[in-house]
Amino acid sequence: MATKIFDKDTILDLTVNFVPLGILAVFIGIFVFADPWGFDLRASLPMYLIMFSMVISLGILTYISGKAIAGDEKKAEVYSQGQAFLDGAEPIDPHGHGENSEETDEHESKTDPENEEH
Amino acid sequence: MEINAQIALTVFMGVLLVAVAAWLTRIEDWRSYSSTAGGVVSQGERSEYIEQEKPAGLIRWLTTVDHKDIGILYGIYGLTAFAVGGLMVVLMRVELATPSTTLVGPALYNSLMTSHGITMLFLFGTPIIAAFSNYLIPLIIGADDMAFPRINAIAFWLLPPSALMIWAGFFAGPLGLGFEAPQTAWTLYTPLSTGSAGGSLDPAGGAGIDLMLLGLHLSGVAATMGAINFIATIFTQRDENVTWANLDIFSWTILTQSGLILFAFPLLGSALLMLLADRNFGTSFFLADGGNLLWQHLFWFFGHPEVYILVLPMMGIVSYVLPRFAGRKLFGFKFVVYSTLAIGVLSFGVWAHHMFATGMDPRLRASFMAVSMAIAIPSAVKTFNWITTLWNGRIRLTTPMLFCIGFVSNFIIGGVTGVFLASIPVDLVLHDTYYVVGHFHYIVMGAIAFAGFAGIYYWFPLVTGRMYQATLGKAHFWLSFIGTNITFFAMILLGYGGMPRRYATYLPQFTSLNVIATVGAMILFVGQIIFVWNLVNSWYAGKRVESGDPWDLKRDGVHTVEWQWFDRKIETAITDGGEEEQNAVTDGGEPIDKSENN
Amino acid sequence: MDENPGLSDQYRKASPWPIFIALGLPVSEIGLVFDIFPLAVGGLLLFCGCIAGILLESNYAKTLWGPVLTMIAILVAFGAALLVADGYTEIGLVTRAYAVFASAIIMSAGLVAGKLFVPKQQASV
Repeated sequence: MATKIFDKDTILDLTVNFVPLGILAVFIGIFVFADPWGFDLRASLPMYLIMFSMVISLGILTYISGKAIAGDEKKAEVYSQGQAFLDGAEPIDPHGHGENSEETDEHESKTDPENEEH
Repeated sequence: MEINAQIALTVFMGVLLVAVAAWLTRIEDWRSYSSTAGGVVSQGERSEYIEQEKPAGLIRWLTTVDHKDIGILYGIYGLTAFAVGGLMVVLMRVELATPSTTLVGPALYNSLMTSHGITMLFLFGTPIIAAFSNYLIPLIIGADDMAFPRINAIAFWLLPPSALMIWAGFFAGPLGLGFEAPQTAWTLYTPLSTGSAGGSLDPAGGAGIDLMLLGLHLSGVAATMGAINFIATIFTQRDENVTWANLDIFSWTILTQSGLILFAFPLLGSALLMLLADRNFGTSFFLADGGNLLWQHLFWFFGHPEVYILVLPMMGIVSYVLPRFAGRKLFGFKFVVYSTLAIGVLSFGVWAHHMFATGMDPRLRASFMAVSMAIAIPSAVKTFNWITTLWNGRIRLTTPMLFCIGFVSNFIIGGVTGVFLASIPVDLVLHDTYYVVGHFHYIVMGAIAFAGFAGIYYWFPLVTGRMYQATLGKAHFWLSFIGTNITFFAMILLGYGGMPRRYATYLPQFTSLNVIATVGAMILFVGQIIFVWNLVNSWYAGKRVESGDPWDLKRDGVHTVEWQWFDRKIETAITDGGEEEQNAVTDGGEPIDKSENN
Repeated sequence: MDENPGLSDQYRKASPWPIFIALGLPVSEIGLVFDIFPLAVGGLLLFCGCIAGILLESNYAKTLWGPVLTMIAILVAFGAALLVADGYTEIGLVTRAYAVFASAIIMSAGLVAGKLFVPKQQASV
C-alpha cells in the first residue's frame, strides 16, 4: 500500500522537506567528525537530541501528511484550492504543480474591479 | 483594603450577580423558539447558509456564537489593539527623535515599549488571524460553523478583559490605585520581573506586572481554546469534496498554527503562573540558581513558535490571495503545504537562538544554530513559489495584490537578516542591537501586518457587502510600504552601528538615523490614519457590491467557494425583497428610512 | 435542538453564557491572586454557574443539578488544597480558601433553593 501511495510524483513533492533534513544531516556530520568542543555527555546529549528529534519528527510528519495528501489524491478528484465544491469547477492534475494549460490564453486587460466600483 | 471598600465591592458584586441571573432567566426564554428555523441541510447544499434566529441590536453581538459574527468581533478587536499599540509606538518614536529624554521619561518609555510589544503580538496579531480564520475557514471548507461554536465565543470574550488587564497599569496611576504599568519588556525576563521586594513593591511595575501576567494567561487560554476548535473543525467538519489533497492553503496554515498553539501556549501559561507564584505566593521557581536561564528557556520555547504562530497563517493568506490577482494557480501548491508543516515542526527546535549570548554550552548553542539554518529553507521555498506564481501571470495591481507583493518584498529582507542572526558569530556581534529590532519588525510589520491588510482589503466586500475606496487603499499601501522600509532599514543600519535596544536615550552619534526612523514612523502613521478612515467610511457609506464576483475572478478560473457563498447571499437578499441588513436595523427598533440610503 | 441533539446544523446562533464565563474567569483570578474576598466569591460564582448553564444549554447535561454539584465538589477540593498549601508558604492563603468555600456554600444554597422552589418543567429541559 505504502509503495503505491509514495510513487515518483509524491516523492518529488516531498523533496521540499528533504532539504532541511539534509542541512541538519550535514551539521550533525560536521559535529560528529570535526568535534570542535570535545564530547561531554551533559552537553553533547542534548545537542544531538535536539537535532535528531527534529529530524525524526519532521520525517514522521512529512510521511503522515504525504500519505494523507497523496492517498486522497488517488481516492477522489483533486480540485484547485478553494474550489472543491465550487459550481462548475474542473478537477486538476495533482502533479501539474498548479500549471493550467488554459490559463495562458489571451486575456485582454480590463479595468480594475476596484476602480469600477468607485 | 479598607472595610468600606470591601463592603462597596461586595455590594457591587452582589448586584452584578443578581442582575446577571435575572437577565439570564429572561434570556433563556429564547429556548422556546430555538428549534423552529431551518431544516436539516443536506450535504450537497451545505454552502447555502440558513440564517438562524439571532436577537437584535447590541445583544446580538454580545451573545452571538455564529462564526461570521465572531470573526467580525475579532477583527474589530484586533484593529483596535493595533491602533492602541500603534499610538504607543508613535509616542516612543517621537521621543527617540532626540538623543535625550524630552517628551516621555524613561519609566513611561519602558512601559510603552512593554505594552507595545505585548499588544501587537497578543492583542493584535493572534486575534486578527482569528478574525480571518473564524469568518472564512467554515465557508472555505464547507462546514456549517465551527465545531464548538460556544467555545469559540468564550475564546473571544476572554480577550477584552485580557486587554484591560494588560493595559491596567496605565489607568492605575491616574486612578490612584498604587501600581504602575509594567516595565519588563514583553519577554518578562527574570529577575527584573520577579520583583526583588515582593509582589507589589518592585520598581518595574508592582501589581501591574501581576495583572499583565493574568491578562497574558487569559489570552493564552483564549488562543488554546481557539486552536482546539480549529483542529476539530478542519478534521471533522469538512465538506465531503474537501479532501486533504485539495484543502486550501489558508486552512493548512491555520491547522499548523493551531498545532503550534496547542504545544506552545500551555507552556507559556504554566511559565506565567510560575512567575506569578514566585511574585505572590512565596515559591522560588526562578529565584534559585539557574532560575533566570530557566525562565528564558521556558519563555523562548513558547516565544519562537509564537513567531510562526503569527506568520504562518499570514503566509497562508498571501498564498491564497496572491494567485487570484496573478490569474493563475499557486505554483507548487504542495511544496507550500509541506514546507508549512516543516516550519511547524522545526519551530520547536530553534528557541535558544534567542539566547546565544547567555553563555550556554557551545555544543548546545551549535545545535540550535543548525536547526535555525534548516528552518530558513521552507520559508525560502514559499518565497520562490510566490515569485514563480507571479511569473508570466496576468497581474492586476489591486490593493490586496499590492500588499501581497509588499509582503513578499519585506519578508525577503526580514528573512535574510534573520538568517544572519541565526549564525552564532554574527549574532554575538548584533545581539541586543537595533539590528534585531529592524529584523523582526520587517517580519511583524512588513510581513504579518501587510498580509493582514491584504486579507482585509480582499475580503472587505465579502464581509461588508461594500467596496472600499481604491485610491485611499493604494495610498495606504504606498505610505505603509515606504514608511516600513524607511523606519526599519534605518534600524538595521543603527544596529550595525551598535546602538543597543530598549533605551529611551542614545548617544548623539545615532541621531540622524533615528530621525530618519522617526520620519518613517510618521509616514506609517499617516498611512494607518487613512486606512482607518477608509475602513470606517466605506463600511457605512461605500458603494454596494452588486456582483458575487467583485474581483472578477471567474475570468481567470481562480474563483473560490467563499465568493460563491457571497453570491448566493446577495441573491437571497434580492429575492427576499430587501437587504438583510435593513431587517436587522428594523429589529433593532430604529426607523427604516434612517438606514442605508446614502 | 431537542429532537436531534446530535446534529450541529440546528443549534441556535446565539448563547448568553460565553460572555459571562469570560467575565467570571478574570474576576475570580484577580480576586484570588490579590486576595480580594468579594471579587473572588463573585467571580467564582459567575464562572462556575455559567459553566453549569452552558453545559445544560448545549445538552451536555440533562439537568442543572449534575454540573452544579460537580462545580461545588471542585470548589471544595480547591479550597481544601489552598488550606493545605497554606502550611507550606509564608503567604496567607486562608482567606483565599475561605472565599472558595464561600462560593461553594452559596452555590449549594442556590442548589437547595432551586430544588425546593423551581417548578419541574423549568428546571429541566
